[in-house]
Amino acid sequence: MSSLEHPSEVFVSNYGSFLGKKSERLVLKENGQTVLEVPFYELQNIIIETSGASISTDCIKECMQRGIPISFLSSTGKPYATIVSPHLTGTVVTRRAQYEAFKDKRGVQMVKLFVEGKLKNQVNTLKYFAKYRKSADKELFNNVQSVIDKIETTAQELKEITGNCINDVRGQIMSAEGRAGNLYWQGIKLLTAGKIDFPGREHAGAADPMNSLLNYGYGILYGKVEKCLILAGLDPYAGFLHVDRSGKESLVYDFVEEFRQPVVDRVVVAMINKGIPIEMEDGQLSQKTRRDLAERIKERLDTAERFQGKKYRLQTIIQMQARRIATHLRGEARYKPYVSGW
Amino acid sequence: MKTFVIYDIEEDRIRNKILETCRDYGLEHVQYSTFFGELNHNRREELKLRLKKTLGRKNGKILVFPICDKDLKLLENICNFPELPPDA
Repeated sequence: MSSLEHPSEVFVSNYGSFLGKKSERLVLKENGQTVLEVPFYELQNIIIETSGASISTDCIKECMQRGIPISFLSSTGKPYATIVSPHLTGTVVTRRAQYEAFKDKRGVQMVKLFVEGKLKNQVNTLKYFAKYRKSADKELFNNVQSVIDKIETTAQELKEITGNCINDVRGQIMSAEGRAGNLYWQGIKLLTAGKIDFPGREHAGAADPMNSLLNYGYGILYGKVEKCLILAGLDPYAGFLHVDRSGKESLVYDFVEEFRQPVVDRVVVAMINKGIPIEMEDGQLSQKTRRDLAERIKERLDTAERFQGKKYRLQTIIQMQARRIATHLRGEARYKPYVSGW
Repeated sequence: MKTFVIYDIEEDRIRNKILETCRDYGLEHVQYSTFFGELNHNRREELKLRLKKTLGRKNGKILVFPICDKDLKLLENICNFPELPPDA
């Protein structure tokens, strides 16, 4: 008897693929041939990352009824569309609280916690990769340690920022976040030196392997985070630190900060340090590399991490945190960022 | 818990429905009229009800039995077919 495991996530990456429904199963066809059948019951997510694919309305309907989002990624990993049910969002109370929080202290508090989580995770990620070098490469270890110290100083400055409205303190918080970010990427550069040529962090349109990996990985993470926020009844478009702009999922970008390092950066840096070949085709990651990265990120999301005294899968932690945002905004409980171990 | 579903059904239409249902529950076709896979208690109960309803008053027999990992280890696979059976 072969494997009993069905994938909870389906990637559609071949031109001309067709997604349909048969009985209560998702059917993936390529050139008219069935290549995959997955019961909807076991499905969590569908990611379409190719052009020229088609999908039946029956399939969309079934997915929506079961709360399975369908995300579309461009070849660079940038999500350009998601199909989600319009009815999952029921909670008006949460949404009202979310919009109102923008104007008062709750918003400031929220953002500070997100960024605090991010900085702690940056520190922990650096520590995680540096700990094995402590004896092997003392000089490198010390250099990374000094970067860590500087990020911690920045984190301290962040704590002292106070304000009544996010608009008053946005500049200060962004400056702290930016400085920490620069330091962090310097640290990552030190830790990957000799393995890959990392020109520094670039956001969109990067053509070097490291940035492409990161961007592609974040693309996958955005989809996950967005789903969790929607399931928690929040509006992914109304963020705090990231200003409102039509079509921009500001809350996704705010919330994703504390998960970038533990989910994506850890995987990418590990891939590079292990010397796994990163193939590029015309300034983009090759399909094989993309698949490989997606697989590793999925594995990472499936690993259990300590959180609130228990072990949960990272995926579950993201969902729990999204719910926590909702309760925090409604003033029922305090949000605490997720901090990964090292 | 790991579960086997084994059936003998006269009518083709009903048999096909049973087969489709087993697949919908993520079970694997191990040989003609035999499915196997992981089902929790609730899913198994649900499957039982559906199979019962599908069979209705037609002639046939369906066995749904959970098996523990300890006993499953004693499973012997004696097989001369190079591949699993085609879709029955």
